[in-house]
Amino acid sequence: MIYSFSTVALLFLGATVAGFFGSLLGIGGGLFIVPMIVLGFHLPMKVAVAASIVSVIATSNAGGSRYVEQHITNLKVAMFLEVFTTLGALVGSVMALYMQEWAMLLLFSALLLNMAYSAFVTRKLDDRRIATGEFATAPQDRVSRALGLRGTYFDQAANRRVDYVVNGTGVGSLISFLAGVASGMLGVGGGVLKVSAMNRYMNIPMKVAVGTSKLMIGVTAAVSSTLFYMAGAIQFALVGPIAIGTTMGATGGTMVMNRVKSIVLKRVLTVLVIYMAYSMIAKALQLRFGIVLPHVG
Amino acid sequence: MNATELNAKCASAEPAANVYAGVFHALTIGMVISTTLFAIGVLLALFRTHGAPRTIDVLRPNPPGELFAGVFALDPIAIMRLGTVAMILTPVARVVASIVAFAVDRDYRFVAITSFVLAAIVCTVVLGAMGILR
Repeated sequence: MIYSFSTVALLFLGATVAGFFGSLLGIGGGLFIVPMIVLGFHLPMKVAVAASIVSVIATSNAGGSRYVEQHITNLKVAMFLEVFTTLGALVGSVMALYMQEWAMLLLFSALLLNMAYSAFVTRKLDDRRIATGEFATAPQDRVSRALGLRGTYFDQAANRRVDYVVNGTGVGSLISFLAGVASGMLGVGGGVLKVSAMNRYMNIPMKVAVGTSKLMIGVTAAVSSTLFYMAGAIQFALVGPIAIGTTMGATGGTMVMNRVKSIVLKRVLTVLVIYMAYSMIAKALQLRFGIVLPHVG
Repeated sequence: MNATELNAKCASAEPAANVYAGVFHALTIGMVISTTLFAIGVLLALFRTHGAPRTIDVLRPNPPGELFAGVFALDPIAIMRLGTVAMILTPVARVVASIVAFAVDRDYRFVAITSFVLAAIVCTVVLGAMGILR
């Protein structure tokens, strides 16, 4: 592969699109970056995964800072859940040494399908709760009350201020832990699980879940990237254009996200989660039984 | 009044205003530094034929000791490498910034929570460096 204007431009454009959707949904966008590098540029999987995980930091820095500035991110929720994701990532990296990857892939694809199902059945719930103010009247659990986990943001699509209180800290922590395990073991899926868990179980409005997850994924990605860096797996010439692209795309995404209705965000997320679950199942079948379904990642 | 101002107004009653400011600045500074380095690196790689990578596959890994020597010699790969280091450090810097801001706010519960996160990050990296992790 030649390092020319056209290569750099293509990497940049692809990364911009990935960064945009990543910001819109609060995820890393590795889902787009890895296939782009492997299929579009015919580079090895290992190189693609390393470049993709580094680019997740770029989108998190860019998107996360904007959502923090707009006060869409709930920083206390982010810090609280990060305890569990960072622990999960540590446990996941250790488990990767002892467990079969195909079994973990199947387990996480089941979890993702469950998330897709619940995102689909609750797709109309966010806009209704915003309209009725129900996000503010939910009962708060003990941990949430002790830590003051609540907040407020201005929803541009609904054109109103939305107050919310957080509950379900138990299930939320558990799934955040699993999200950490997924990113530590498999290098994917952390953001998707975090957004889904916050929205589904913790009474957190979709947009706050997106903004909070966007910030959180940077920490896990930074840890994974350090491990890749020390292993000498990062191609810096590849990372350059991709990081610039995801940074710009992510910034663009943050300008659009709050204007979009929650139901649209949840629909796009559902499609993405189903695709991610499918590619995990396909990979598991290939690893365990040698059955090849069309997939990348 | 735009959405950012409205949101900031909604949140001004929040006790964590310092933390928002600290995290925002840490992330923005890190983002600007790393993106600038990447931009310089990419442009140098494209415009300077000498020392530029012609193909991505044959990139040489330059030893860490030569990182700054490479940067001062305007080696595009070394500059992008420094950009990568700056980018990796940014989320860690924002965790540190939030510990400081929570301490200023005397919110000691969250000082403890955030310090635990930092400890877990350091622990994972140290274990990784020792070759215990994958």
